[in-house]
Amino acid sequence: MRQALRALGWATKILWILIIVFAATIVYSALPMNFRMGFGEPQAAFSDGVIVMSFPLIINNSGYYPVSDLNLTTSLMDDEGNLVSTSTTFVPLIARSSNLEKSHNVSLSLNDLNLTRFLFEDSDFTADLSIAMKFARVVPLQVATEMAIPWGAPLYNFSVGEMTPQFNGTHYLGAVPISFENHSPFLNVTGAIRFEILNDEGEPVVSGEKIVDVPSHSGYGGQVELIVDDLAKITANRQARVSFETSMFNFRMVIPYG
Amino acid sequence: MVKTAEDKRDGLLKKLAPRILKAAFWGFLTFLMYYIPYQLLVLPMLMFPEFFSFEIQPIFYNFVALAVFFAVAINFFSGTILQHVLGVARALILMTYLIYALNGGILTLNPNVGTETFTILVDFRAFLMMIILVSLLSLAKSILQTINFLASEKESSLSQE
Repeated sequence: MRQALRALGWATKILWILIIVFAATIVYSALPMNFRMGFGEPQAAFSDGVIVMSFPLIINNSGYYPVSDLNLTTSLMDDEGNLVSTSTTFVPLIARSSNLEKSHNVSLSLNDLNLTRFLFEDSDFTADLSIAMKFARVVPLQVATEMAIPWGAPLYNFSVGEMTPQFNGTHYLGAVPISFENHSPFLNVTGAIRFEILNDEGEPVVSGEKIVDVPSHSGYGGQVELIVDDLAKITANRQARVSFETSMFNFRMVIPYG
Repeated sequence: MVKTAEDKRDGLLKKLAPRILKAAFWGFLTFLMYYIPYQLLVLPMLMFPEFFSFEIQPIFYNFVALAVFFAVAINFFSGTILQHVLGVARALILMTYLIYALNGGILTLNPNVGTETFTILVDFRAFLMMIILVSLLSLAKSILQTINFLASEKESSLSQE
């Protein structure tokens, strides 16, 4: 009995020491000086109506234990709380004393957005960021935060001025002033703006096109030139159709005009 | 020869003094055993106060107070049945206190970094399970020690008869 008790005593002491050492080294390994995680400079790419924002995820694990099952999830919601995008990046293992860089891609389909609002009005997106991982394969840890991401409208304050027709001897030339501000941090408005004046039946009677190249965070002010062969075609209750055909998005709207 | 009250007191003091010294020594050693690793952990925590809530301090101090109390009491009553009974009580109380204080192994922190509020959830139930298993081992040892103590007491009384 005495021998068994002595063995049990030693076993307990050794196990306590192991647990204390294990706990201390896990906490030490998880401290920000030993486990760093951050995002690099984001990059934006655009194709087929989808903006892909790529956030380089940089992880430096200089602790004593590997970090496994790292799961980064981003959910993007518009200002009305509608979910517009969910992205997940999974890293199965980050070995101890190692660095890792992986892109976390957040896709935003313009087709899923209410384009009328997001092209013309500044807004705020809400991003729910959640990172889950396992320290030393036994201690799961989850970090979550919610942050506001301002959305800059690429056609903010879009306005169309009055047409001033001038007769040049054979037909009328009209110039329609157009202006807007590109508030978007990612999107360049590069493409054509087509302006058509519609008659009562909704058919275009006069049209013109302007090629624009407006980088992000800059304003635009220009004129679309129209050739009007017969002023009589332009009715009193006019409407105009404005079409944007850019590398980033295609959008068309009808506005009262005149 | 009749013992005077003074002689009795001297005898008691002679008996108690080594016990008190032993209890004090083990109490101090127990305190150091918990306090030094804690201080080593506190240093990096002080460097990142936004991540580590100091609500953990009272939990730790209560735990150390319990551990020191039991270390002193067990050593003071060493060689008696109380030593083993206190050993059983220590294993049970510290185990229950750890489960209660560590919220069943799920810890939630809400640090503010800049303007953002983070929610950090640490699930160390597996780790708590290890602590409970070792505590159960301590409990088993204390129970066996109690049985062993009672058996040897009985044995010595029988051999005296």
